[in-house]
Parts: sequence; C-alpha cells; structure tokens
Amino acid sequence: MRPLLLLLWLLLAGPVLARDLASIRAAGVLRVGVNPNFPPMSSYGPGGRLQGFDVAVAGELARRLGLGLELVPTEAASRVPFLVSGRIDLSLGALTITPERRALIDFSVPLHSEAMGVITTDRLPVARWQQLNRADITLVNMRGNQSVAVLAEKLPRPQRLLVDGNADTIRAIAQGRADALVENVDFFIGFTRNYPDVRWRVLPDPIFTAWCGIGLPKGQEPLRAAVDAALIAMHRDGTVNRLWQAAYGAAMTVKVQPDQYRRVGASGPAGYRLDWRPVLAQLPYLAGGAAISLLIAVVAFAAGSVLGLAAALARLGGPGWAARTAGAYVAIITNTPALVQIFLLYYALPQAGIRLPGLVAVMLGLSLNAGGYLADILRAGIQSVRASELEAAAVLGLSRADTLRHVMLPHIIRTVYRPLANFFIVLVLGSSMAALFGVEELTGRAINISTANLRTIETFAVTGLLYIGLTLLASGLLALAGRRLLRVRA
Amino acid sequence: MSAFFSTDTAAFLAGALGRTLWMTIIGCTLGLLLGAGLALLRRTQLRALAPLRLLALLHVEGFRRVPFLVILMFVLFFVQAVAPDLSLLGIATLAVTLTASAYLAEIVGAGLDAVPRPQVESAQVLGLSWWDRLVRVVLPQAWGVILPPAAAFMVMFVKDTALASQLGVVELAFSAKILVNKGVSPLLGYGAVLLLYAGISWPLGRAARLLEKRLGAHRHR
Repeated sequence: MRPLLLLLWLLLAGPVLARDLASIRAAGVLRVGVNPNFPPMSSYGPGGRLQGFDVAVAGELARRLGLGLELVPTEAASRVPFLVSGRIDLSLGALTITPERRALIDFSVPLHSEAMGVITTDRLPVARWQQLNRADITLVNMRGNQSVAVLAEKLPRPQRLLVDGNADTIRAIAQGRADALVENVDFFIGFTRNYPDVRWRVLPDPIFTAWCGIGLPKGQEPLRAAVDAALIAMHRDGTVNRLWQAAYGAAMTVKVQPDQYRRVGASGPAGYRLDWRPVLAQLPYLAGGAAISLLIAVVAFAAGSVLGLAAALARLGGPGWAARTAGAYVAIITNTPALVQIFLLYYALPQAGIRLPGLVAVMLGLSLNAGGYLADILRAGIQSVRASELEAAAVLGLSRADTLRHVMLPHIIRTVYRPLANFFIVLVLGSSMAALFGVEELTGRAINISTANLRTIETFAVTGLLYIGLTLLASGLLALAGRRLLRVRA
Repeated sequence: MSAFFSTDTAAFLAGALGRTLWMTIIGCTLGLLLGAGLALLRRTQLRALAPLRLLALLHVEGFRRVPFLVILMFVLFFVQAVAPDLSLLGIATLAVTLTASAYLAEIVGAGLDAVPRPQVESAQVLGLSWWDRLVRVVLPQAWGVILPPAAAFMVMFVKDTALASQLGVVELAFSAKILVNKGVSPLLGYGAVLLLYAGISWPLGRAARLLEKRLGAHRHR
C-alpha cells in the first residue's frame, strides 16, 4: 500500500495531463463529461443515445468552438479525476460552484441556477418550507449534492436519508421512506411521473439559489476564455433558456442575470496537489463508520450462522422436503450477487407493502446471504466426522452427549474454524455495500466526504488503510480466540 | 410502466450480460497469471528479490483486506493518472484482475506447497534448473490441487462484478437499475437480472465441482 501511494503521489503531483485548447483544436474533438442518469439534464434515450439539456448545451458549445463533440458518461465521483487527467475537457451535470471545489477545478460563468425548493406529498400537512424543521420529519437527499450542507444549516432538526441516484429520492418519498425532498425542484419533479398514484406537491418560494457552471481543469486559461465567451453569447441570444425550456417543458425558475456574465479571477497552477488535511480531519467520523461496518458484519455473521446451521442439518438429516428447501435456498443464495439480493429486498418488497430501512435491508440481505455460504461450510465440517470414529465411540460406550462433545465437536470445530474466520472478513468487506442503500458506514462516509470536497484519491486511500486495519484486527482477534479458547490454529 | 418485454430490453440486457462475462473471464484469467507470478515470487529464496517479495506480500494481504467497491474507486483514480484513455469497462476489468490476483495467489501458493518437499529437493540435487523443477516436477502435481478452487473462485467472482455498476459500467446489476429508473417494476427488473446471474453461475459452478471430482479422483483420496 505504501509504495503504491508514493507512486500515486509522484504521478499525480507532477505532470499536467489535461489537454490545452491548442491540443483540443489539433484533435478536433471536444470531450465533455455528462451524468448518464440525470434526466432531463442527460440520460440515455431511444437507441441508447444520450439526450437532454446538458447534451444540447455541449453540442452547441462544440459547434460554436468549431469542434466535434464526444460525450463521456461520468459519475459524481469521477468528474474531477477525469478533468485532471484530460479524459474530459469539460464537465457538465449541475456542478454547483463552491469555494471548496474552486480549489480543485475551475468554473465557467454560471450556466444555470439551482433553486432549492421542497417536493412533498399530501401526506405532509405543511405550507411553507420553514415548517419542515421538526424531528419527526425525514428529508431525503442525494449523497454529495450541495443541498446536504445547506440543509444541515437551514433545517437542522429533521432526520435525513441519503440515497445515491436522482430517481431514488422520489422513489423514497413514494414508498414512504421519507416525507420530503429539499432540492432543485426543476431537476427532480420529472421523476414524480413514475408514481402517478401519489399526490405530489411543490411548496412555494425557493429556500436558496445556487449557481452551476461548467467544470474545467485548473490552469487552462485559453480554454476557459473560449468556453466563457461562447457561453455568454449563448446566454445573450437566449439559447440557454431555449434549450432549458425544450428539456424541462418549463422556464428556468431563477434565470441567470447579465451581471453574472463577468468572469472570476485567474485560476491557480495546473495539475493536482494532494492534500491530506481535509480527510485526516474527518478521521473520527470515518472511525465511527468503521464501527457501523463491524456491527453489520457481526449481525450478519450471527444470524447467518443460525440459518446456515439449520440449513446444513436439514440437508444432512432432515426429512425430504426440508432437505430440498434448504438445498434450493443455498443454490439461490450462492449463485446470485448479494448486491442484487439486497436490491430486491430494498426496492421490490415495498411493492408488497413491506418497507425496510436501508440498514435493516442490508443486515437482512447479508444475513440471508451468509446463511447460504455458512451452510456449505458447516455441512463440510459435520461431514468431516468419519463413521469409523462414531462406531469407535459407540463401542467405547460413550453416551450421545459425550460423543457429540468429545468426538464430533472437536472435529467439526477444527475443520470449520478457519473458513468461518475467513468468511467473517468477507462479511466485513461486504458490509461496504450498505453504502449504496444510504447507510453511513465506513464506505458511505468516505463517499460523503469525497463528493463534498472532491478529494476522492486521499479519501479512498485513507479508507482503504482503515479497512486493512479493521480486518487485520479482526483476523488477529479471531486467531487468538481460536488458539486460546478452542485450541485450533486459524 | 414502460414495456419490459421487448427486443430493445433483450438487446440491452444481452449487452450487459456480455460486459459481466467480459470482466469476469478476462479479469480472472489475467488475475490467475498475475497471481501465479506472485505466488512463485513469494517462494523464491534469492536475497536480491527480497524487496519484491515484500511488495508481493503487501499486494496479496492488501487487496484481500479492502472491499472491492473501494478497490474499484482506487483503480479508477490510479488509471486516470497513467492511462486516461482506458474505458470504464477496462478499469473495472483491471480492478477485477488486481483483486482476483491476490486471492488466486493464495490458491496457487497452496497448490505449490502441496507438492512434497523431498521431490523438489531431489530434483535440485539432480541438477534441474529452477524452470525445469517448476515445469517438470512441481506444476504437473500442483495443477490438480490449484484448478478446482481457482475455478470455483472465478465462478464466485461473476457475482462480485455487480459492484462495477458503481463505476458506471452498464453490466447486469446496473442494467436492472436503469430499467427500474425507467419505470419497470423493481421486482421484475431485479428479479430478471437475478435469474440471469443464476443462469450463468449455476451451470459453471456445477462444471467446477465436476472438475474437482475428476481431478480429485486422480489424486487417490
């Protein structure tokens, strides 16, 4: 890990990888990053082609710069590395302009506004956003969006549920996991069409207006000047508002004003400088996440052991129907991904009226999953007891309890202890999937930190080391417990 | 609700299935080669190779103790610095290779260690070179011990590639998410993809177990 980090540092701190305007012109193609899961900004339309406001803006910009266009799908976490490395020249996708982000990348003049309002349903009897500041309300939010920080300041009391996708926020409200979404109403209202049975409402007057610009790599002044000039022209002749209207079917709630066309000061030096302080300052927060990761693994291991033992016994000595059921359970679990199993529990069970919070869905899913694998491990352990040994015990006149205690159990424990200990480590690592269901464990907290400050490299390096430490500790304790308590080597 | 049962959906899922298989097959095959190299490296005695042995140890221990999700993120940023033109699928495949190599190095190592030491020592006394000892004495015997668990591991990894969805690779799990976001019912979308995974994994798992029985029979049990 250490040499790897050193290599990373050398690679990232030194060279400037982003393409300058001259080399873009030489290549003749402008590479623009868009979020492929963000309708009506950009999403895959019929025939698998990207379409939407961002796509139209990118096309218009490329045309005005006299360049061809290549669209590159980017996720929130990959925008900055893609910009720094020159995989993309510009990043679209409602990139809110913040001072923290300005330290890492440059921005064009504002492209559009981000007027934050409230989307809710008739279940919630409030008329104004100020009335949402109650502890019995749950607000849903998209991880990494600027609104998360603003909310903590303006509406501190409600509980919050973090999800990963735009569509997931509206689904969370439709399924009753959350009461309201405080976000850019323009962006999110489209998803309410997926749930025509819900009576959706938008509260009047925006809470806050932020501005989104086009992201550029640092130190590319000629490129930034060219993009700004084209963008200002597109504002002046009404192109931006026209494209917005076409994509959203409505005008932008708060329009970009002419006094915002002036450009901000020169950017700093090019390239990426590692800065560990923002991440190290969050170490206690990450350590808290590690404790939750460990809790998920322990619960899944305990519940999975019970399930696994039951399934193993059913397959070995149960009546026919029980053996078949247990066999089918193990086959289904061990042949499909845990991630998709949890997706089903989390997203499909609400169709049957059963709504599990993210943490519960993940614990249940991982427990069911662990049960399948542990059943196989325990079955092999039980089978490792040879018939001849049982016969010998019978000849010696050992009672059934004594046979179990002195003949069978030592054998079984010696066989299964090491695979069980290894599987516990697998579960610790597997608990990271909880992050995808809004649980703020170690990986979830790492994603939270990195999407806000964009320092993904530093954040994930520290997170990786924390996982290594966590699993080394767990392995060490398990090996010690095995030697001391059970006299087995693990 | 948009139509799920259409040729468009079938083509979309087929493409996703292809990417899942690509990541598994290419990633695990490269991982097996790299893992074998690591296992051999860790069993060399040469003093000059000591720093490399340490690196191999850190690689094997490190990659087995970090979640695949975190490795994916890490590889993404690392690759951005060295090969910015590699596709997302390529990045995910590289992450699979690195992760698989760590686990497969342990499997290969166990196979190498299963060859009785006196055999290796007598080959050494007979003056066989390192390469000849490996190819003529060790591998023919280790092969049967390595292959079954290695095959089982690769089959298992089909499922772990689902996490590459977080990188933006449109493989099976991500394709289900896209369909559900378009309005397909979650039960149908995720259920269909679950069946597809089982459809790949179950027959391959049977084949791996058959292989184990065949090779196990050769090694007089």
